[in-house]
Amino acid sequence: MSISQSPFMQDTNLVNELREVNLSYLLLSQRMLRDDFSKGMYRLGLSKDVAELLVSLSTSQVLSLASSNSLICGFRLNDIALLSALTKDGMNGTLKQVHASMMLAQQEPDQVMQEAL
Amino acid sequence: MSEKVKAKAKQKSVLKDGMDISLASQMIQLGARLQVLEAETDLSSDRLSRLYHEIHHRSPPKGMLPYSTDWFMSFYQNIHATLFYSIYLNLVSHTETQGIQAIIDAYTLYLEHDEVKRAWDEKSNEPVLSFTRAWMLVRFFKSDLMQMSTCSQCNTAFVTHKHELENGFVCVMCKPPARIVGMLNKQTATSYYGKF
Repeated sequence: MSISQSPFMQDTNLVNELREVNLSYLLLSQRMLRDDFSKGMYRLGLSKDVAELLVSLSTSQVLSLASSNSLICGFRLNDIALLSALTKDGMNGTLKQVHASMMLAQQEPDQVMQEAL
Repeated sequence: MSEKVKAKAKQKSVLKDGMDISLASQMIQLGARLQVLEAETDLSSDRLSRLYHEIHHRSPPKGMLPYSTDWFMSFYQNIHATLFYSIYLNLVSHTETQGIQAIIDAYTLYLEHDEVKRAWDEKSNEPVLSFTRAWMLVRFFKSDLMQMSTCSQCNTAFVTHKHELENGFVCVMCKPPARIVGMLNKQTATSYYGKF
């Protein structure tokens, strides 16, 4: 059965789902920023430049960005000390949740990579 | 000269008046006390108290503002204050929202948190950190009575008194007081999300 399948067909489901995530991320962030720019920046953890660029993207630009085969939004808790503090025992779920919120609020926003001169 | 200045001061801008009223009603809905409104707007206390009455259908509370900085140091209060102030700092340092609008926005973002809703105080019908307390907290920071100290274990900054020793500071989350530890141990047996 598996021999008859085309080698190109195997991961289409996965890729489709990934694109869906990309698209909903982009659309949601655009909606949040248009609704309230400052609050959107806080929630998304984006810097002003990135947020302004994201808002100004047209629908076709959003679509082409979203159709990438890899995820375009990043994990915001990529710090070992941070993650281990969030997963240690001895606290209830609510406290962990607050701790995570504080850490996210205190993070520096994602910057646009500056080209080296 | 002084008469001229007086005449100018008396001439009120209608637009500013309207903006003040909308700002004041936003703050009243969040539970601000009259003293806060008086400090942040140019409206008279008489008009402010009428506005308060129209929104809440009761008289504004009287008495002094909560002026204690120690209140922010106990376990739950410290966590709530830290959450609010982190949001406020984020808005002030990275976005164009500044001043009183930043306090209002940070406070609404703070109220949106699930954990804050769970901590709602049924008796006083207020969250742990009231709007007036949040406003006072920002003032305490401005007058250098408090600072953010970074915990040496989890690397998160917490609200502390000014001149707290920065070296080896451990926050209330990493080292909760004994009575809280006992309470948490009891809770985790019954439910994942406990009281907060």
